[in-house]
Amino acid sequence: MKDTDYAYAVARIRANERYLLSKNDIERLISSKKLSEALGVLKERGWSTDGEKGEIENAIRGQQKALWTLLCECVPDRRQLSVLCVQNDFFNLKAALKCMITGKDAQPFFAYPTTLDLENLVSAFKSHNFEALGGDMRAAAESAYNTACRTENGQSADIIIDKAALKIFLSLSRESGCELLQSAAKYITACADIKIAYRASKAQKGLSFIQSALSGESDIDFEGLSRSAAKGTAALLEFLQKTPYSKESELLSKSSAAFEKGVDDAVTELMKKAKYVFFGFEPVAAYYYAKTAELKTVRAVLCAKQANIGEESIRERVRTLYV
Amino acid sequence: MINLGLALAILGAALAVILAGCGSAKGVGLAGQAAAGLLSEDPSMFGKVLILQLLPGTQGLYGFLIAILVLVNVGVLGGAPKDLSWQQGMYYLVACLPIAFAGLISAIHQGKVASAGVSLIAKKPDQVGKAITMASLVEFYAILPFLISLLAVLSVSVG
Repeated sequence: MKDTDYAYAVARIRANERYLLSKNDIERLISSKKLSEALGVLKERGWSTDGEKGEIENAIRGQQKALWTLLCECVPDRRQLSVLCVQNDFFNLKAALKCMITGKDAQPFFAYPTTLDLENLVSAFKSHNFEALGGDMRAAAESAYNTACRTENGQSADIIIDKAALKIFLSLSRESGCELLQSAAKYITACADIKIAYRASKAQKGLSFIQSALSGESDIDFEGLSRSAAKGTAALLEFLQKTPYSKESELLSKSSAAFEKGVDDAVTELMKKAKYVFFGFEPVAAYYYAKTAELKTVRAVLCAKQANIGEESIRERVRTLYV
Repeated sequence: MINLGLALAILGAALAVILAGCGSAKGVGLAGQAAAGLLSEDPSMFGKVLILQLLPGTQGLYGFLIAILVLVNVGVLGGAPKDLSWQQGMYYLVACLPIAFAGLISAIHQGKVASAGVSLIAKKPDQVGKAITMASLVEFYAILPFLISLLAVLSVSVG
């Protein structure tokens, strides 16, 4: 597909970028006295906030639906969007598996947007027939399901799904031909491995477990990362200081929330290069990440308002904005 | 009976129309796609994006004018084709080439600039003047070859 095939999509995306929340809007949200006041600010910016119960989730879901509809209408080939949703798709796979095991309803746990037919996903686990999922996802679902049934260990199943998700994410980003997306995918994969290594070191897991849990797809030295994580968090953070991920190591030493925010901010900064691209998939991908970061920020602010958390604590969770 | 000279002159006219026209079709098409993208979100911008979409269409018009002049000069449009030598025919053919090739290339690039301009207006509607100016600068490199082709065609006299 040629870059100029995206002329329609880029113009539409640029028109929609005007409606992304600005720093000023976020500041107004943070300084709102009550949740209802914050929802009013969003309503002024065109958000639908009419839901009586679960207003926060309704507002977020409305935006997620609008985002996905826009992207589907924009791009010349909808199959390209799968690279943007692959992480949500595999998250939903995990949710469906866990809910099948625990007997809970999976619907409240699903992440959006997703390319999966969620009813089919749930019924695939109920019927143990994963044919409808297709390709790599089917293989991951079957393997995770069999492992979970055999070992009665949800963690092993999670590892299978997480590794498959990262592998497919990288592969789809390469297929997209979008350099920005490839850089983002590499970075996200590396950070996912860092997070896995950190959690494993905190839980004092052994080397073999850590090596089986890491994706092995990132540009961080696999042996170095796994062996340092097996020695403990201090050794891991020291190892990361010698890699290009020293900043992430510092964030990790503060808190997991700071690390998550740092990763999102770095991806947004990377995506800002798409502001100067007028043809190609880059602006579409950048808009998706920009909107996703905006929704994370709004959710954090609204939930904090609901829980009466102070403004300074909220500001620590506010993501870097694309606009 | 069409002789070689007349055939070469008609070939020149055809190239001017076909190449410049193809460039314009591609440029207008590209700008049109971007315009449709913007208008699907904000139909009130039609007037602003129309100018940008029209700009890459001028090359096709220039090629058409040169072709008409050639066809009039050699008598094809008057119904009495003139008896041209192959040198005269070749002269017409070469005279048509500047607008044919520069028209093709400049229209495609102008279409890209116009399309990018539409995206600029989509995000910053008050920047319409800058978007039109940038696309118009490409026009300059369609006008120059058009003038050369025009002067060359007008300067030849066929008996």
